[in-house]
Amino acid sequence: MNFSVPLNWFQKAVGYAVSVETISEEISRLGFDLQVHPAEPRPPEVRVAQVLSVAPHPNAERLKICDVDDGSGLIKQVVCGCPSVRGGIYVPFAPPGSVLPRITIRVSEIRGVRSEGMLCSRDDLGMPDGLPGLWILSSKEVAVGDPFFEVLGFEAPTLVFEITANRKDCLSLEGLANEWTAMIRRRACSPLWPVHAFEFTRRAPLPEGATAAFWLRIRLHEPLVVPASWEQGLRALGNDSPNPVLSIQRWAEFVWGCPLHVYRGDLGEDWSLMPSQKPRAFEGLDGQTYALESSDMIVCNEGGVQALPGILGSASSRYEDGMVFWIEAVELDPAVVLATHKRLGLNTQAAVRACRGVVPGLARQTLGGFLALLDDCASFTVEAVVGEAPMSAPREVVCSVDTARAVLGCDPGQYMKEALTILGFVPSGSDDVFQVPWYRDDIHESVDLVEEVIRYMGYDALRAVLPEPRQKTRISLERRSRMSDYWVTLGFDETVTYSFVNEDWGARLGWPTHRQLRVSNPISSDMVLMRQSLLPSLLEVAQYRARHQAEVVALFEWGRVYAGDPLTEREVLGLWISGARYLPQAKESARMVDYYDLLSWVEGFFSWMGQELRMVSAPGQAIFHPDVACQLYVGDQSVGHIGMVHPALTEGASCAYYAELDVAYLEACHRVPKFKSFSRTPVVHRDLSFWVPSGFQYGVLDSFLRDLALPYLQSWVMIDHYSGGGAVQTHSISLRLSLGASHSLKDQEIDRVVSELVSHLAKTLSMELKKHEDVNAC
Amino acid sequence: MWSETLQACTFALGQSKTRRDVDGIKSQYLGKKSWLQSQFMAMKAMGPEERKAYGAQLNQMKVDLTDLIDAAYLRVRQQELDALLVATSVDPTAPQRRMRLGSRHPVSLACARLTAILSDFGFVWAEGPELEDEHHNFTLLNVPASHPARAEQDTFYLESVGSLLRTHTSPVQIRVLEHTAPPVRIMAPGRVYRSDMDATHTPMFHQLEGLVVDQHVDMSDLKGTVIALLSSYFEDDSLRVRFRPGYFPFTEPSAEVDIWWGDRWLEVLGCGMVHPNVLRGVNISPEQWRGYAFGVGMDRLAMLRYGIQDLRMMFENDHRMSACFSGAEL
Repeated sequence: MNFSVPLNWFQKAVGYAVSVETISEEISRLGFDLQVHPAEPRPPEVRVAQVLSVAPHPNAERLKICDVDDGSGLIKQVVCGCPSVRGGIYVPFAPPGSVLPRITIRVSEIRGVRSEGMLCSRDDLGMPDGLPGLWILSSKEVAVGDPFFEVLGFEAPTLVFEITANRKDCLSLEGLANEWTAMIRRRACSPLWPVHAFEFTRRAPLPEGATAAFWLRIRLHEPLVVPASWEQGLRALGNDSPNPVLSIQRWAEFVWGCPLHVYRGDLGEDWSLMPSQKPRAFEGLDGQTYALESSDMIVCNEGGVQALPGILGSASSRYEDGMVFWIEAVELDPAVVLATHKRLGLNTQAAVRACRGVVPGLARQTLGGFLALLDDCASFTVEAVVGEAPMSAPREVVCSVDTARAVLGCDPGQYMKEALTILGFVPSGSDDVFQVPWYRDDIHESVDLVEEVIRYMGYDALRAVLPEPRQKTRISLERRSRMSDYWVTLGFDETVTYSFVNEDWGARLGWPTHRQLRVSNPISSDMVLMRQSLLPSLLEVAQYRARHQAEVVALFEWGRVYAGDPLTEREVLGLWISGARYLPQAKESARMVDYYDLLSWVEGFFSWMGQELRMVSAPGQAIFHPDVACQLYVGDQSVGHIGMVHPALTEGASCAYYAELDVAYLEACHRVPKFKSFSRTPVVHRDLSFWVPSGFQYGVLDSFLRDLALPYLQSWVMIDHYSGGGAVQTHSISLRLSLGASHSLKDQEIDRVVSELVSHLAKTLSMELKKHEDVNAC
Repeated sequence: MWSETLQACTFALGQSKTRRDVDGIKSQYLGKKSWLQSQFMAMKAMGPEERKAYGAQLNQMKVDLTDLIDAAYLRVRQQELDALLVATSVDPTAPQRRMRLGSRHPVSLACARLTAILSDFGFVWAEGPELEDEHHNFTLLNVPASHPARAEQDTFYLESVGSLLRTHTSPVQIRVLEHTAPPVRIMAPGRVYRSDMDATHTPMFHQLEGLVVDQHVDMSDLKGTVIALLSSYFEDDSLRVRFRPGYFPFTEPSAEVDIWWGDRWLEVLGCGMVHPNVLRGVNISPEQWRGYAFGVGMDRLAMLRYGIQDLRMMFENDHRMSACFSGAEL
């Protein structure tokens, strides 16, 4: 939450000329941050001058000749066309040589009369939207010869404080000054304006969710003039309303913090704050009509609904000008305001402030302040005070030195009582009980007071007890680091991509509609759908890299995939390869990666973790080539899938291959390496060739042999495969069998196993031993 | 005869080019069907004297032939070897099949460092869901309903009722405390999401949460742990670390932690003593147990350690950036 203060007003509030550098250095002790915005440059030549006398211009009816004292010692003659010019007034004066926003002042003759400068309006000085005519200053604020902009503070930079969300009380000049003075100067701060007290003349019941409501009818006895120094402050805060009542309202909000609202003065007295109780239409002063629901809070009186409190006044109750007006302050549960403001989409400045909430007591304080400000500017009467503000007993919090010591690990000693007293906490009865000041709604229990104490002492007072090394626990992150290194060694780059993807991907990848999970308030249309696979993200990175001349693209990412109905998320390891197999320069650089590159690395990855991978063809997935796709298993457990990325997705660019592995399995599959006794007799190899039916898949054969578990058959591998022929398509493969046992195998033993295998393969997989091929003993 | 035979053999060997050629000549002159062998057989029919003299001649001849053949073997082997050397010669300085070394992501490197350090301090790895509910992400963390963080402009809500993308790793504190009786000492790195995108914000980033709940921990333990973590991470024992007041609804007292970086203080971490309401929310007595927690922005720490200037580069995955992080060093 930001709170802006012009430097000169911060200095006035804390009562000394503290520098920007000091504020920047010390502000962190309050827990706040600071940004400094320099003031707009202003013409330094402009000074305060007094008009001594006014005479008519001999050649022009509307011009006047003024004698002006600008403090230079010489009386200047100035021709002025403003009807409001009169003897005795103080005005900003631009002597010859001044460079104003629209004009450079020179000694000139106007209709034959010499003029040595210009008396200025707000507009002349580059401050639009002000009152018309000369800017008439009060002699209480300025003296003849003063450098105009400097003396009124227009050259002061604006301090933008970032206030933590718990310290609403510091979102006002007075609150911030109190905090600064207590924490930095270790004393209490005296207020700039003593607030006025006022009594109810008529009561109005409060609804649930409100702690106070006030409506004051005020009659001015003379026109209001806002002091130029307040106007400087208000302009620095971005307020350039010419209406003096609204300016003072805004100034009171700035000094004390409660949002106020001004209504026209001829509205009735029967004010109330209540829920709408029925749907109704409300015409706001922004000209829009809003449909209210029965739970929306409204302010109404005899004339109907006058405002959505804290959000927007009605069109008919708007105060334009006049000597009588109503001013309102309410303390309302921010949640109530928030609900209405959110539903109606009304993001008014008032609503933003009201949504922060108002501490009980602040409405009365701010209204009392408003009256004090008014008192500085004009005489007035408070004709009516309507509303309700029940007093609540101050909260009490217990906090002992022992508690503070236990939490902080250091002894607060005498600081404890000192800090709390200066911060406005009043010791109550017993030593360890403190009354919380009304404006501190963030203080509820002892640790809250402990924090006040350590803030007061300064966090440097905390000791640092270094942690002792402890026995290291096995952590899965360490394991993950090692797994990452496997892929890094093979040339894969780790990526981190957003978890949300473009909505199109749901349909393109065939994610079931009811399980698609969307962000309801996405930041862009590319970040709508929670991804169900890392493929779209890695595809985008690969395309980016291809566009930027990367020849080799190998990517991996640890990331979660998500689905709705029911909500699920699980972590996967996504692997992508496309492009060349090696960097250019190489003789083989023309060789592109293929499916078996990725498959062999994935197989190797599982072997590296002591797991034996099994591939089962899994056609028909939207992301993969219809034939080139496998589900991966270890034993009976599915651990991921792999395949050639469907060419429709890569848009005909180079072939890409993708695998997605289940991280839960990778983290759980823990195998302590174990010694197994092995035979020292040589392994015997047999190579066999078979005719195979079309559509043959090695994975099926592999699983079959695994399940068959023939004696002595230790391993097998496909050493060749052939597809060809003329009219009739023929397919054949060659298998190399490895047989071994604890004894040297005899030829009969080997032949028995081989013939058993041949007959099984013929019967179950329709594989026919090639007749004319030799069966070679190697 | 002898000399003719030797001459013929010498000539044949001179013509031989391969070991197989020499094998043939050897078998022709010394093999079972060779003339020499037949002469040895013929000796059986001779008388002792004759046999002795003839045998000596035959033996000498065998020795001579064997020497010739062995020499031929040596020659052809050398020739074969020379040919092989020529055939297998390559430019050993030419990188013909250069693999591109891959890389870890800088956030992943930072995470590995931070967790390794915390692991030495006895922190155990924990994780929680990214698809969170308001209850765990806010309510149980003592974030009031009206807190600005709950507003739509900060939090990504999902179309599934009541669920959102976690805005911080702090809900892992709750997830752990719901199921684990204290004492606990956990670290939880992970992805978090906030609806913000500009030069210094991305809608997804990475945090590391640390939580300790025990009977006798206080703020000096927190301060010491955080200082040790940061100085180990940056490998700088004289790293200047500053604690200053801060505000988080789930800690009290709270602190922001800055490090002195170049010429200014940089905020890198938020921390504090676990708020009693957080402990109450998971049925742990704040009278009996106290805790501290900290949350580190890992992206920021990665950028500082590895000298990355622009946060957005972290999610661009440009291969030219990846190339800077190849290898095994953290």
